[in-house]
Amino acid sequence: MRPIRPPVAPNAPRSIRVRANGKGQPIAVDGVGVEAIVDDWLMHDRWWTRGRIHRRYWRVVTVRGRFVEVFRDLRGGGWYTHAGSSRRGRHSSVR
Amino acid sequence: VIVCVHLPRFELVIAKGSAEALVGRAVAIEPADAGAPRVGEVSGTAQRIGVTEGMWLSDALACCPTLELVLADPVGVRSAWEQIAQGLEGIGAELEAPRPGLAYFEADGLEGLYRGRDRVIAAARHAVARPCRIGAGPTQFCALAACREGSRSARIVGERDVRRYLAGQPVGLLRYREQTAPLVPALEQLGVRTLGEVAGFGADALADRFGHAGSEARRLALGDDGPLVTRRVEDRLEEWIEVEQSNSAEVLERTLRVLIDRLLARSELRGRTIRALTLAARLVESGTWCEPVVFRSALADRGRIALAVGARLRLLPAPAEALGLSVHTLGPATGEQGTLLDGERTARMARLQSAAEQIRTIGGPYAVLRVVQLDPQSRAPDRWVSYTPFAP
Repeated sequence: MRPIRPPVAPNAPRSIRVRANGKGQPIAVDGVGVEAIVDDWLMHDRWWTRGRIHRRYWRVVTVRGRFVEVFRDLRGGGWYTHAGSSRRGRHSSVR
Repeated sequence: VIVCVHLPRFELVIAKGSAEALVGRAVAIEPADAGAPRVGEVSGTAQRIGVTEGMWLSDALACCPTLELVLADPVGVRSAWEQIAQGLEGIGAELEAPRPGLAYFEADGLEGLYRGRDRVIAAARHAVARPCRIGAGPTQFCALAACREGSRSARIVGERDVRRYLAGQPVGLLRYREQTAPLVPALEQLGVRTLGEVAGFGADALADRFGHAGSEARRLALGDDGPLVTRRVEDRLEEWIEVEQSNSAEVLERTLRVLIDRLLARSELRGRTIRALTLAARLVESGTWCEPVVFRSALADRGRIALAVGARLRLLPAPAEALGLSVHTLGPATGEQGTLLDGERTARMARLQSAAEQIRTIGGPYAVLRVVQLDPQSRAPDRWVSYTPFAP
């Protein structure tokens, strides 16, 4: 049997298809329209290291009633989500 | 002889309401996981356009911009399939049901009862009570190939014709086995079209290129297959409750406790413990959701069951209008009895350690892992938890 490769970290960012408006706000996530933006926040962390993080997070609720947390990588570009972010539901705290 | 009953696109038909609703329309089941958005079952029209099950959503929409996505209905599928399976068991068949929409049973024992193989097949068709394909052959794989021919009358493949018959079948049949499914794209890219070509390769060459899955594919192509693994016939224990305030966590938890109480009070339990449950929900907008919960040890204590199942409520993808709980597997009748000394615990840890080492020897250091909190206070979610090699 071939050895199993190291798994991806549980919450590692995964690329996601997001359509944004002129202001950069998400209006569709994975082809599903955004009903409302619940929260948004800027994360600028670990700036003192090579792996600095500069992201704009959006917590949105889609027209199907799902909560999804997406972010735009302000360094490299592109939209991402964290595994299971859409499953954390309404009662999770916004960090 | 083994009979195969196949209901093509079963999950899609249930999600859409009827098979007629799929005619002439490109439809696919919406991806369940936002992190890895792959479409589920696809309609025949979508398939002709080039959309396939398991395709990335972006690729599927690029391939077919008019593709209609429907929400999966796992609860409806489970319920409809259980009804069909019970119908088949009602004719006396011992079923192997690897997935909803596909079942096998041994017909030899029933032939005396129904006076002939054709009558057994007719009884099965009547029990399913939906349009289905039926085929028969000496092995499950051969019966599956036979039932995919799609004719109204069941195709029956004889013992002597197995190899010749399978040799002409497409390699796509290997998709129906979890172990060999990943080989199909590779084989198709290599220009291998039929199972006869797969069987023509040497066993060493296939094992060398595809590992155990290659050997398994060759074995199937040569008409060799394992015995039926039939399911146990048990009472169906299920409870549902409408939820008034679908957004309140407290209400959901209270509802769950009531469900557990109702389930434990069912007379069909007859003092037995519960080994595995399925928590299900009907979502407010549309669609359903279900989550299996397997206990470490069989339980009959409502508090411990509530503790284990309650944690899954947080996984609800959308507000729920109804919550359901059904027993998946029952445990032994005797309750769990702890020991005064920790001898049992020590022995268990030793067994666990030994099992972990065995798996690690086969699969390498990443075969058994534990999730640990890495930096739970970090603002970046990707730093909250990580994996570490498991040690009991």
